[in-house]
Formats: sequence, C-alpha cells, structure tokens
Amino acid sequence: MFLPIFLFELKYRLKRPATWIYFFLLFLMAFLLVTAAGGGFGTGVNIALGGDGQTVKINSPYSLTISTMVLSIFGVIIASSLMGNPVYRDFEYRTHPLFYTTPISKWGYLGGRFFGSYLIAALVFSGIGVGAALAGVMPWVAADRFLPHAPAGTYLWPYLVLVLPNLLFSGALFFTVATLSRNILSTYLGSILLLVAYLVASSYLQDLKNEHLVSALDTFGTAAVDFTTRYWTSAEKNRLLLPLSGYVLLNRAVWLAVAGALLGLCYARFRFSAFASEKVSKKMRRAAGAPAAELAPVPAGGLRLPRVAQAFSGAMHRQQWWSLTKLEFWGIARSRYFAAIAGAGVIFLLATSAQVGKTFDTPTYPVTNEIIEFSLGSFFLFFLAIIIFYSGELVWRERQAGVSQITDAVPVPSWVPFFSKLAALGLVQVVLLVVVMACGLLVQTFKGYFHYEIGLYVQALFFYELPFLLLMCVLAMVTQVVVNNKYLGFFAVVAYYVANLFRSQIGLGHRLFSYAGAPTPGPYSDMNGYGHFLPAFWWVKLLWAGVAVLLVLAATLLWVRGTDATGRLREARRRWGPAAPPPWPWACSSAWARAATSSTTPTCSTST
Amino acid sequence: MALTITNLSKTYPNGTQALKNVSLDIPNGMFGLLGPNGAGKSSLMRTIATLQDADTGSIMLDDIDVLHNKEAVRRVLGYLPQEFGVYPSVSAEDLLDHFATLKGIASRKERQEMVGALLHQTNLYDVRKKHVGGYSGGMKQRFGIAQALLGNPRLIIVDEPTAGLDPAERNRFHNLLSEIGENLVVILSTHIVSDVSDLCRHMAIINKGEVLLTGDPLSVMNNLKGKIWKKLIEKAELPALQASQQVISSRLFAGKTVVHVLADGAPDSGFEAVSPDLEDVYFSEIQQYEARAKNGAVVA
Repeated sequence: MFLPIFLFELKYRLKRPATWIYFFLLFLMAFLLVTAAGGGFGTGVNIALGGDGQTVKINSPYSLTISTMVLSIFGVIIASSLMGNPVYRDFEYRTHPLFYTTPISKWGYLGGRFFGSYLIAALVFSGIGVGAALAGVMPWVAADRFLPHAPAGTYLWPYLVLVLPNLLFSGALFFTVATLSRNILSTYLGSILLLVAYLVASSYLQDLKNEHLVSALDTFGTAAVDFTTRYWTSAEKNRLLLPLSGYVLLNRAVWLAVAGALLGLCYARFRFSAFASEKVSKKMRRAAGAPAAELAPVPAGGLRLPRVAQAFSGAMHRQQWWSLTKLEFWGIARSRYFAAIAGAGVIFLLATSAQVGKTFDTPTYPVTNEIIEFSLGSFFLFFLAIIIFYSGELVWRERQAGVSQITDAVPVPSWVPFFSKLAALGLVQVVLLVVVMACGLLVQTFKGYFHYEIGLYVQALFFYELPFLLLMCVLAMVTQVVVNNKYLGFFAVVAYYVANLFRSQIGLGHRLFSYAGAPTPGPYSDMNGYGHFLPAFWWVKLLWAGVAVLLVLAATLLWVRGTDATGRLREARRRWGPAAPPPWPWACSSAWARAATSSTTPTCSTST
Repeated sequence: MALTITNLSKTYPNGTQALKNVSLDIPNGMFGLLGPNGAGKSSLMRTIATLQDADTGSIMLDDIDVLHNKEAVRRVLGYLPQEFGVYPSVSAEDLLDHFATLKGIASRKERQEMVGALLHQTNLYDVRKKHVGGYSGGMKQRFGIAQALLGNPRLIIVDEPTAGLDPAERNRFHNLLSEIGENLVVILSTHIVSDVSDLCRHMAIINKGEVLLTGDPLSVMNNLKGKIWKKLIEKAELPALQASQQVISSRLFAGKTVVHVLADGAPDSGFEAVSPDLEDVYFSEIQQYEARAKNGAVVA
C-alpha cells in the first residue's frame, strides 16, 4: 500500500503550483543573497553570510555552509506549509471519508504521505543550492570575490548534512501537529513560534559553558557548526567541507532521534476516524443535538410579524458601520491565533529585554525612549504578522463562512463592510500598542527604573507609531481587495516588505518612495524631544494619508460584492456615480509638493 | 408588485451559457421555478438578488431597474441562497439581530420584537441561544427563511430551500412558506416537482438556461390531458419502446418498469390513460427539449 500512495503524493505535489512557487522563492533568496554579497548590486550593498569575499570567498565551502543553513532555518515557514498539508488536505477537501473507509494500512497512508511530501520538500529546498550556484556564475558579480573552482561537494554537502536532517525534524514536527490536531493554522503559527523560540533560545544557549550540551540542544545545528569551525583559518574555510565532528554528529543524532520519536507518536496516535479525538466528537454531538421543539408544528393563522421602520439614511449607515466594526473586532480579538501571535510577541519582547540599554556591554539606564525604541523594534514583526494575516481573514471572512450571499444582498452601501473591517484592524493595533506600553512599563519596573514618562509613551506609540501602523493596515487591506486572492494577497504584501528592505539599494531611497513614511520622527533627545524632525514627519504623513485615502477609495469601488467578480470595473463605475470627483487628489498633491520641498534637505531643519 | 424579466442572457467566463434570452413575468404570490440541476436557476436567482450582473437584458421590479439600481432592490429584498454558512460561534438570536441592523432596522426595540417573532414563527425560539453552526439541516433552513423575512421584504427569493430535507422537515418548510403573504413576490426555485405543485400558483420550467414553459400548474397539467399513457413493461423492452415512442419517464415498480408515454392516442392496447400530474409536464418538457437539441445537433 505504501508505494501507490507515495507515488500519488509525488505526482500530485509536482503538479501543484505551490511546490514550484516555494522552490522559486528559496532559489530567489539564495540568488539575491549571493548576488548582493558578490557585488551585483554595486558596492553600497554589504550583505554577507559567512565569508565577505575578501579572504574567505563567497563560494567557499564555509560561506555556503553558513548561508545554506541560515536560509534553511527561515525556510521553516515553507516547510510548515509543505509538511502540514499532506494529511490535513483530506480534511480540508472533505475527502477523508473516502480514504478512511478503504482498506489501506496506517503505515501505507501516513508513510506514503509523509515520505512523498518529504521528497517534495527536499526538492524545494534544493532551490537554495541551485540559486547560490547560479548567482555565482552571473556576469555582474565581482569575480575576485569568488573561488575560480569551488571544491567538489561545496553545494551538496551542506544540503546533505544540514538541510535534509533539519527538514526531517521540522517536517516530522509539522506533519505530526497537523495530522493530530487537524488544524492547519496551528501548524503555520507553530512554525512562527518555533522560529521565535529558536532565536530566543539560541541567545540564551550562548551563555552555557558546556559546549556539547549546547550543540545537542541547538535544533538546527548552528552552534555545532560554529564550534566546529571557529578556529579555522581563511585557507581552511576556502578549502574544507564541514567535517563530521563530535559536535555535528551529536547534534544530528539528537534531532534525528526527536524526529523519529515525533513520527512514532504520530503513528501511534493517528486513527482512521472522522474526528481528531473523542472530546471533539462529543462537543459536536452536543452542539448538533436536536431539541424536542423541532417537531412542533408551525403555528397556524399566517405569519404575524411586527411592522418595523427601516431607515436607509447616512446615520443608519454609520450605525451599521459601528455594529459591523464591533463584530469584526471581537472576531479578531477572540480568535486564539490573535492571542497566540500577540502572546509570542510579548514573550519575545520580555525575553530579549535583557539586552536593552547596553551600549558596548556597558549598562545604561532603561530610559523611556530607549525602551520604546526597543519594544517597538522587537514587536514589529508581530504587528506585521497580525496586519498581514488578519487583512486576509477580514476581507475573506464572509466568503469563507459562506454567509457572503446573504450579507452582500442587504441594503448597506458598499463602503460599510470595507470601512468596518479597516476600523476593526485599526482598533486591534491600538490594543496591541497598549500591550506594548504595558510591557515597556513592566521592563522598566523590573530593571528598578521608576521614572516612567507616560506622556512620552503616548506620544511615541499613539501619535507617531499608530499612524504608521494604520497606513500599513490600509495597504494590506487594499491589496487583499484588489488582488482578490487571499494567498496571492499575502504574498504581495510580504513581497512589498522584502522589496522595501532593499529600496535604497535599487535607487529608490528617497523618502517619497517610502509608503507610510517612518514610524518615528527621528532620534529623540531628553533635551529637546524630537525637535525639528517633527514638521517634516507630519508633512510626509500627510502625504501618505492622502495616498491612503485614494487607496481606500479604490478599494471601496472595487470591493467584491456578489458572486461574480469579473464585472468589477463596470460595477466600480456604477458606484462612482455621476457625482463630481472628490477634492482629495488636489489636497494630496499639494501635500506631495510640501513634502518634496521639505525633504530636499534630508534633515528637514527648516521645513515651514 | 410584479417582476418583469426581459431577454436576460449571461455567459460565464469559462464559456458556460447560464441564461439564454430568458423572459418571465412574475406576478404577486408564489412563483415556482422548476428545472434540473445545472439549469441556470441559481444564476437567475442571484441575478435578481443583485449578486451578479447579466450580459444583456433587463429586470424590472415595478419601476425599479434591478440591474442598475441595486440599492433600491436590496431595500425590499429577502434572499435565502442555495447554500449558506454562518459566522462561527454566533447564536441564532445575535446573528438575526445583526442582519436586522444591516437591513436598516435602527431601533433596538423593534429589532428585538422582529427577531423574537421570527424565532417563534420558525420554531427556533427554544434554541435561539445555540450557535447556528450546530443546527440540523432543517433548522438551518428555517433560520435562513427567518433572516430572509427580516425587515418588510416585498420580493422574496428562496433558492432550492428544500434540497436535502427529510419529508417531515420539508412539509414544515412548505407550511412556513405558504404563510408568507399573498401581496408580495415570492420566487421559489427547486428541482423537486411537488414543491411547485404544493405551493405555487404560477410556474416556469427552465433547462440549460432556457425557459421551456410558463403558466399555472393546473392549466399546464390540463394541456396534457388525454396524452399521457402508462404501461408496465419488462426492463429489457425499454430501449425498443424508447425508439418507437416518446417515453417521458420510466421508473421501477415491484421489479417491473412503469413507463409514461406522450402520445395523442393510445400507442397500443397495453397502455392505459392516466391523468397528467406536474411531474409528467416536467418530464415531457425536458424530454422534448433534449430531443430538439439532439435533432438540432444531427442537422448541424
């Protein structure tokens, strides 16, 4: 039974676009990394993992070991998607009754699905090596940063020793979690949690004295590689493949054993049953329990319904907007993924707060502006995750729940649903900023620093950071509406952030190209606060607020209503109506002009 | 209140022609739209319910242009889609209250009265605090009709409401539908013939996007009077009979096959006349349509 399922899995996954998209993503990351290190983006860019191309070359075995390892760690997110899917798929598409009533063996089913997917994942992750190798022979990289001939196995060896075992562990983890919980979101969040936990744990592991223990505990083997190669000369780094030292062998053995244990657990606990566990089934049964009243007849004598007054005024639409906003807000706030992401953020923030206020290992006071900068920095990825994830959930909520045909046919204007979802996401940001503020105060208290500057907190978080986050919410929501495909929307927003990181390297460093501007006005001083940075900050914010208004307008016009999204442009024209165009574009362009003049002097000292 | 559909056509991007030049006059009262799966019933329902556009044609609800003045239609519309879901973990009462807000009922007191009355009428009052997601099929359909009746709709569209309901639950649903007032337009689409014969005074049969027949059930049945003939045959005789006669339906009965044949006189002495029911009308229309389509294909 194993072989047919295994082969079907391979064939099926090879035909899925996701497989090739992920392959291409890893390929692209490796390609860009090596191109950047090799000087392909000009001399201004200085990214290097491992060797910098001076004495230790970029295609040396050592550099490639490090960069392959780092990329494969961030690839955990991709691994979760690839390896959580195989069994969960049957529940998603409701094909499990078909499979679970056939005489297949547990080993055939689980084994075939797991190893088929693992082979696919191995294929996907080979993209790292292929991308790195290809980037090295491109004409635009500086030849003197590369070895003329990399030693044999330079690309293959890290893949065999590091990538494949890491993938086996993360794959076993995600496969087991998704198969036993039958919940794909727990897998995605699990991957983020694993990454965060790994990053936090490795900063603590560094303080341990027992090197073998550290090697053994480090999931992805970075510590083992580090211990093995730390005394290498440049010549050795250019020549030697990673040897199977005691550290490396110990680490690989421990985590392969953990992977085996996870798979064993999965095999032991898995049942060919409709429900993940009896507990769930009881709950479902209780919920579906038919009450006695169901059989009572319909009262005779016609429907007696009270007459009600319906209002279709602006005030009513605002009431509907607020009612929907509350519904959407609680929908997010009560979801356990929100709690999980926000909780992970708080843990990360508190766990890393040990490092705050150290300047070259010299402790300084945890003054408020330091704490604010640090807290927002460590929480930023979590803000981003929540904005991206929930923008998709919000835009697709009705359609996913199957209630959209009802809600689309009610007499509310099309701006109401979009504005309420946007407002709900904005409220969530306010809540998160309150959480960040509470964390900041907590950190200061634990460090024995009691000079809390509440005013500065409010100013920095709610006056400067909040507008930035709100503009980001607008971008993510509008993208979801325009793209009209949840996963493509996620991808587009993530691609925007990645591109934004390299903005200045491709010549778009000017602030007028930076959507939403900066989250802070600039450096804060205890003497004169943000000083002369503020006027320029506000002009730029005003500009992007104008752009955001236009984006929101576009989203309102393009908001999908009904079952047929093909006629959206025609529908948009109808929604626009014969009324005169609104005056914002002009207001916006004047803000552009002001922002452009004030930014010609980068420090903006004399903006009027 | 009356709905007039004129020359409505719709082709989906994948090439499926869902509606071909559909024209219908739908007066007050219950109107049955009968057709097999995939006939274009839901496409027509969704178009009337402002959820999708047509390529050509027009729909007028009295003097409201349905295709262009969607907002005005939505104010008088009650719609029960063929398939619908609900927000997870929201009780029936809260969800109805939410929909009532969306339908423009501003006063909280009026909303509560309306929701309470609807829950009583649909026999969901005792389970109003339960999540709609946990309802059985019949309860969920009754919830669906409750939300469609919110506000004071004058045009009610129910799309395949009885599909998948057991006979008792279907009966209950019919009773509920029959209580809806006479002076509003109610359009019921279904593939179950008895839904229409039980409830509707006007009807249309559609197949592959085309209207095959309109009228009231009694007179369309009368038109077939004396033309429907029944015979009990062996299963093996069926192909020969199909080749020589216009067999509109055949079903098994106690191991034999009962066929209904459409003919002006008795085809042979073994046949006996039966008084036509709506099912005979339905199958004869569909059968004639298929035959025409086949001949057309042969000629082409």
